[in-house]
Parts: sequence; structure tokens; C-alpha cells
Amino acid sequence: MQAEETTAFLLERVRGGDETARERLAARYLPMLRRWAHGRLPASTRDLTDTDDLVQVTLLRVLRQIGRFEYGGAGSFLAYLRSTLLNLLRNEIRRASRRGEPMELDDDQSDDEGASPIEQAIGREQLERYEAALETLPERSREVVIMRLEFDMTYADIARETHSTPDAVRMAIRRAIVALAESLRDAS
Amino acid sequence: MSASDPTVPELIARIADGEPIDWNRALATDPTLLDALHTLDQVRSAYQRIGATQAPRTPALFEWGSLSVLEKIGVGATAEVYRAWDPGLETTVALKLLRPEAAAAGLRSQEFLGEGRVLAQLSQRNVLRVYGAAVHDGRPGLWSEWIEGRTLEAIVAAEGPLADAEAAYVGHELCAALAAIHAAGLLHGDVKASNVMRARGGRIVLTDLGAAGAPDAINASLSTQATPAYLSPESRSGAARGKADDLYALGVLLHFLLTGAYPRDGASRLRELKPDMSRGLADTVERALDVRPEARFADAPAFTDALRADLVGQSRAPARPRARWLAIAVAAGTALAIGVGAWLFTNVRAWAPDIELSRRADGGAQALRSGDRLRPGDRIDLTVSTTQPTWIYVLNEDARGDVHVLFPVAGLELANPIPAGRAITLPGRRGAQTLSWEVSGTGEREEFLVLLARTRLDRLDRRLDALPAATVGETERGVTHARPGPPAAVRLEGEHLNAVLADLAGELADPERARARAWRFNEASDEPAR
Repeated sequence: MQAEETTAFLLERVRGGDETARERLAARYLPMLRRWAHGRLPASTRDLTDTDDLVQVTLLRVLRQIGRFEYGGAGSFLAYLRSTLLNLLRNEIRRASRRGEPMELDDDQSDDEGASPIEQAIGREQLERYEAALETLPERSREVVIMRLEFDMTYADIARETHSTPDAVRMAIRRAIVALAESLRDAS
Repeated sequence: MSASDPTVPELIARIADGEPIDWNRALATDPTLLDALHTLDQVRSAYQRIGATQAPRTPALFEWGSLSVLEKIGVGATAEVYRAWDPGLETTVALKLLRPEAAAAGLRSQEFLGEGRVLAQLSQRNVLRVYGAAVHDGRPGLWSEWIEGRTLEAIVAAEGPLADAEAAYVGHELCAALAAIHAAGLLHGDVKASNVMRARGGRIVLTDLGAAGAPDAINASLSTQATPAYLSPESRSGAARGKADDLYALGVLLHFLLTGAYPRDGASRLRELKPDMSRGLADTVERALDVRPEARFADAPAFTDALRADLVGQSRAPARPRARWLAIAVAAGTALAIGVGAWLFTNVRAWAPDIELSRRADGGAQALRSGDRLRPGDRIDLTVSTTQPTWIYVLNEDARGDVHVLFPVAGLELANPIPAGRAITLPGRRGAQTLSWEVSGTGEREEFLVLLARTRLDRLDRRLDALPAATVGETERGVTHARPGPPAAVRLEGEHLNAVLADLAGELADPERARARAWRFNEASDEPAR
């Protein structure tokens, strides 16, 4: 029955101090978050920081402080983890790029190493616009579109986590993509 | 425009479903919305690619050597193709295994392995990268990179023939693949639409190297390996196959891409089936299909040159409305034609500015480093090549604190942003005259600061307005002597330049947004430069 345990259920158990539930949640989210973080960290930073450690520490911290998190469904939990991690990664990148002489005008740095895989795919400015466009979406739309586009969850998984049906999820994601694209277009 | 070109609702559905999209054919009345959707698709597929480098969750069908074989994706007469996970490379690979009955019969095992080993040494972006060949559990196999994408056959079947420029681009890429294969002393032996993939992102990849090999092996397996529609007239009448046959097959493939049909009895039907197509491209394809071998292109490079000329010619023609993404493909092809940069959509290209401060010497230029000697009368310029339009600011300050803006300056032909894709020399030309900055003063210290940015730096622009600009026609500055110290880590002393840098600290903290580079020369000297 483990597959049927929704995030909501497990989070409730974690709140009640259930260590097993905490482990199960960590096991469920850790691979997804690690993969996501690898998309957001430049290759050069990955040498400096153990991304996986960062992700694990973040997840465990969030789970420890779960009382503070106002639960609004599994999607919002993932969105919350994502934004926590995004802030941490931004600090990490900033710290890494400031390391060394601030006035060291060395041009030896390889550009591929400075950009994360997602930046390499769409460029930095476009990524910033994308993040800003995400912020303009209603919370529910943002959650489902992140789960699909970034975390590559199936419609069925998203439906289970959001107490919906795959068809309804598919439609919600299509609408969210339209809204996101329009917001992105208007920002360009 | 064909009815099967994807419209916006279809694009949205495919992005949501995670299905590959042919952006060359995407249709929209609002091109900026198309751009936005393309961005979302790129985000999605970038994450999916990261996923592809994660260990698989699905259980393996079986193990073959160190590979975990995950899924059967195709079966041929003598071989089966699988998706597999290579734990050593930590990536998904394609695995081609001889079928057990073929392997048991000893059929082709040795040549299969031998060819695989040779192919593993080929490295060209349009040739499927073969990682290795081996026998495990009595089954010979070779494994290669895994390509996410579709075959040209599937693309034409789903969406109809390609536009002229698109077909010319594919032909251009495949010529490069064949040139590499031929240079290694091999033949491909089975060039056809189902053996070429367009990967997500547009890379054209020649696959099915199981058919490729040394000319003798190819000819020995003629009966089993050939695809009749692609055979040259002379090999159909029994002549041994050679490089010319790969090129003939490419001609047939281009004919198919342009029309969706094959030549009839070896005769081109291009003008009959596609009367409006580009004349130059039709000539090129028909030459490749000439019944007289001596009338065809002599080798892959000659074929490449002809296709390149077609691409360049077409890029001058006005783009048709549906050719939106295509126009970008043509522009990239043109960049290739003049020898700069590789094929990539300009909007997905990482920012890679490259600059060099040079002293003009007789008929050439000599790169300068901090510490080099200059003398009065030396002329300096800055060569820039970048992958994205780039805002460039060049400043200079001497020991007396006299600061000048050397670029951008009113009166020059060049202004920000500097376009991407080709080397550009600042300060540039004025009319027929090539300008440079002339070393004229004898300050104790001369520092040059170059700032590069992805976007206009408004704060800097305002600051520069308050500084004196170099005058075009007469130039400033002076002079040098080496100071010990590593040239890369130049620390500026000039008060104004440091103020500029401090002001831009926020922007410069982010190397994807802005970068700085400095040169420093000290003390005038009468010694001649070396």
C-alpha cells in the first residue's frame, strides 16, 4: 500500500512525529530534488559544493520544521521545496562566483562551466523571465506546471498527489502552459 | 504550408505530454508566443535530459556485460536494438545486439565487432558516436550514444517534405558525416531516411553504423544490406561499391526529403514534383543523381560546397512566413559557410565573448598582454567575437587620472550592441579607412579596461556620458613598459576605472551578465618595442 500513501498523508504523520513517514517522504522527494538541482547548478559550482548534500540537508531541514509549513496539498509542498532550494542555490552560486579575488579579471573561465544546464538550454535572461512568469501564475497552476515540466511527473502521479484525475490534471497543465507562455511573451 | 504543421493548441498539448516537437514547422500568427512556447519546451526537455543521465528506475530486462538492458526498441533481420543503461558512463545508451540465431550461426560476428571497433574511433558530431563493441554471453553487440529524436523518414511521414533550406541544411550536415567516415577509410553503405535522426535541438545524426565498414565487408554483404531505392545505377548492375555510392544515396535521400518520393528509374522528379523549388538546390541534387558517375560530385567536400552555396543563396531570399525557425537555421548555416561557430539556435547559445587587444603590425596584428611593451605611434585595436549580441565598453586611464572612453564613441560606424557570430574589430572602419587607437602620450601608467555585458548597462552609460570621449581621427594614449606580475590578474590603479568597476560590482558578480578585463602598461620608454 506504500504507493498509495500520498504526500498529504505522510506529511500529517511527520507532523505527528512519525520517523518512518519522514524517511519515506525523504526517499520520495530526494531523487526528484537532486535531479532538479543538477539542472540549476553550473558545472563549476558542482565541483565546489556537493549538490546532493545540499539537497538532502535542505529536505531534512524542511521536514524537521514541517510545523511551520502551511500545507496546501502535495503540489504546494513540492513548490515550497523548490523555492527553498532555489534560494539556497542562488546563494551558493553567488558565493562560489565571489570566491577568489573580486578584482581578478581572469578570462580563462570556461563559459560552459559558468552556466547550469537549464541556462545553457535557454539562456540566463530567458530563465529569469521564466521564473518571473511562474510567479505570475495562480498557486495551483504554478504547482502542476512545475510538477510536469520540471519534475517530469506523470499525469497519474500528479493526479494522485493533488486528489484529482489525470484528465483534469492534463487540462489544468495545458491552461497553465498557455498562461505561462503569455506571461513570458509579455515580459519579452 | 502543410495541414500537418503543428498549431498552437497542438504545441501546447505536446509540451504538456512531453512529446518531441519539430519547431521548424510550428505555426503561429503570433511569433512571440511561439518563442515563449519554445522556451517552455526547452525547459521541459532540458530537465528530461538531466533525467536521462540519472540511473533508471525501471528494472533491467537482462544484463549484457556491464550494461543494464532496459527496453527493446527495434528488431531487424540479424540484429535487435535496445535502450540500455551504462553505469560506467552514467548515461543511457543504445545497444545493438546480433540476434541469437545469427550469432549462433557465426554470421557476421567478426566483421560486426571489427567494424564497431573502428567506428568507436570516429568522432564527428553528425555521426552516431559508437562507444564500443564486445561479446558477452555469446552475443556480439555494439553500443552507442542514445539520441532523443526522430528519423527523417518519420518526420517526412508525419509532416510531409522539408522546405528547401531545411533539406539543404540536412544534406550539408550529412556531407560532413560522410566526409569523416570516408576519411577513416570506411563506407557507410546504407544512407537512407530511416538511418538519419534529427535529435531534439536539431543535431542531424547519421546512424545505423552496423551497416558501415570497410569497403570489402560492405560489398560482401551487399545483398543483405542494400536498400534498393538508394543504390546507384552502376552498383545495381553489379559494380563494387565505393564512396561514390554513399554520395549517390545522399542525393536520393535529398530527393526524398524535398518531395516525399524517390527518383523513378534513377531519374530525378524534382522539377516535376516541386516546380517552385530553388533552382540551385535542384541543380545540386540532380548532379548528385547523374547516371554518369563522372558527372557527380567527386567527393563529400565537393558536395558540401555545393550545398553550402545553396544555403547561403537562400538566406538572401526573403523568408516565407512559415519559415520562422527555418530562417534561423539558414542563418546558422550561413555562419558555418563563412567558417564561424557551429550550428545552434542563436537564442539558446551560451554567452561566450572572446576579446583580444592587439597591436597592429605590418600587415597583421599581434596580441597584447599586460606587460608587453608599447611605444608611441603603436596602433591598437580590439577584436571581439561573441555568441550573443554584446554591449562593449572600452576605457583608458593614465597616471595623471586622465580617463577616456575609447568605445562606444560618436562618429564611429560601430555601436553597441556588437553583433554575434563573426569577429569584429573595434574601433572599426570609417568609410574606406580602418581606424585604430594610437599610442601617443608618455604617461607613467596606462590602463585599459574592457567591460562586456549581455544587456545595456544603463548605469555605466550614464557615467560614461560624463567622461571625455576619444576623438575619432586623432587618438590618445600612451605607453608602456613591463611590470612584473601575472598578466591575468591585473589590478587597476586608475581611480576612475576603479570607480567604474565598483559601481558595476553587482553586475560583475554575475559572469553571465557582465565581465571585465583589464590591461596595464607602465612607464614610457624610448626603447624600441620588440
